[in-house]
Amino acid sequence: MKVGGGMMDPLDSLGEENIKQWPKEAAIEYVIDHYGEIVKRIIFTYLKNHAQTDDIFQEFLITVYQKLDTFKGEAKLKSWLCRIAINKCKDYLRSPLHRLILLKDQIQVSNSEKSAEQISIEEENRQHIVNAIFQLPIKYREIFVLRYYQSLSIQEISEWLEMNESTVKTRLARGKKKLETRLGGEGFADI
Amino acid sequence: MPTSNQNNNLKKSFDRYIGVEPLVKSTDKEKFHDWLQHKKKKPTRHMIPRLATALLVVLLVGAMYLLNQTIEQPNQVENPPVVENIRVPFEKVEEKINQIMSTYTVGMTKEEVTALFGEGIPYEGQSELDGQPYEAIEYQFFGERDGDDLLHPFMDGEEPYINGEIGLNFNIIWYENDRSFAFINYLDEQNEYTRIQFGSDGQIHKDNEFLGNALYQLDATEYFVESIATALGKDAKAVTEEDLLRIEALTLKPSSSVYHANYMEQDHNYFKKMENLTSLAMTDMQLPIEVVVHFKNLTTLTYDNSGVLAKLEELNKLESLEEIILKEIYNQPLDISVLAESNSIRTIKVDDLETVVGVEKLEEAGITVEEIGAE
Repeated sequence: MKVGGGMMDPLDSLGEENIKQWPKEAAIEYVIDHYGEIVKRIIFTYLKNHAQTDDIFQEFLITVYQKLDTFKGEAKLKSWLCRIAINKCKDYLRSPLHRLILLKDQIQVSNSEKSAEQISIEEENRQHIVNAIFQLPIKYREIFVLRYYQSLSIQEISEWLEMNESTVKTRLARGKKKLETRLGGEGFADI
Repeated sequence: MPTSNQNNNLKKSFDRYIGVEPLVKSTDKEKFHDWLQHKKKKPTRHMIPRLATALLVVLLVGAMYLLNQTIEQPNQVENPPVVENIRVPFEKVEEKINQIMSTYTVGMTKEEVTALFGEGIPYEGQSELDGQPYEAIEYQFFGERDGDDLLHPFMDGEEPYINGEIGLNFNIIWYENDRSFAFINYLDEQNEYTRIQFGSDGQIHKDNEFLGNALYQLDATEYFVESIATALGKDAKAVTEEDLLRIEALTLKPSSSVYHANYMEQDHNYFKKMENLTSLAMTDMQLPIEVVVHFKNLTTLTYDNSGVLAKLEELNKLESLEEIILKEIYNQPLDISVLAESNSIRTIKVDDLETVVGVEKLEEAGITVEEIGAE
């Protein structure tokens, strides 16, 4: 497999757990090629805005470039990268700037809802659930995204978000209640 | 738990929401490489190269000065300098601004505006933000510009003002939902391109500086005035500064308007005047702690899903504060032991004891920490 426009995949000689020993630019190429999509999708679940997702993804890449030396091989690269991305999103959401784009977010949400009209009833129900998940406050939304979109276990979510497992469980349960309220109890029993 | 198949279907729904096309684009790599190149080009902090650069600049400036002295400058200046006798005199512009500001109020109808300022140049368009159609009128005052040639939105910029083509440009925009706003563009006294904006919520800004609110008696945001009006059961336009002293209990929530307004600095100054506030509840938002500590008579304070709670020790400054209620804490577990220093707090209620730490220290200080609803 080639990485970075013709360079040999550094995995040939050093596994990704040793990524801090790779040439930094090759490491970033590798991160974008192998984990860029999942990271950008996670970023989007926090920001719900594609332009802002692009910006925060750039900040994420810069942070990875700058902090690559601190990566300890015992953690999985994917979870290390996702933790950086999640922290970037939270820093951004705490800033006053993000409120400026909320109106645009709403428009995108309504567009997503429109697209649901074109799909089957069964899919539409699921789409309603996902739409409702995207309307949850961040602290619940992030748990649902990691649990049902990234298929992480409770323990993995607690590691990624650096919080107690009991907190994860509580938020999952409270989030479900909130979803039930929003969805009128309909179509949610399966989750 | 959903089955594996259900989970896959749910994932597809997530992907449909986020977008089925790949989010990673070639521009992501290009932007990063641009950043990297820029980073590499940054000058080093070593003294020798810096001194060499400084010396080179001095030599170049000297050489240019000598050239200017010996060679006649050809008339090829790309950006004409701002010359006082080319631009429309600021005094004239200022007079017109004053006239507009004393006669125009946001919310005026098209008929009212044309009765004041004439027909102007009407135009139509669509909001870039939400696609909503609008009708607008542009007024061009002073200068030698062809009066039918629109400046906004196609030629925004300072050049026609510097060239003296126009002295002042005034636009009023009406959306279909009756929302309207307006702005004035001009060069200020220092020849800086400036915009005065009249927001649909009454707020008037000169660039980023808040000038006032034309719709209310308080020079605050609409969000603030509406919050206070609700607390008082009074019409927002009738709320006065004296009313702030009457408020004893206040519940604050995020703006329900589509604009997701925030309290601004001018609002904070009004909050600080609420000397008789004894109960404050904040749901889904929070005021800066620097503002909260001004409520010297506060006895009960509630944070409900208010985001990250920080600098709680500041609350120890509130000598009347007896009860704090914390619901849906975001940054769990929250260390509340810092409140043990308070001389007044008697009770802290939380919706879940697992969401806080430092309870023992508080209990040693005689402060009861209990779950909401517990006996």
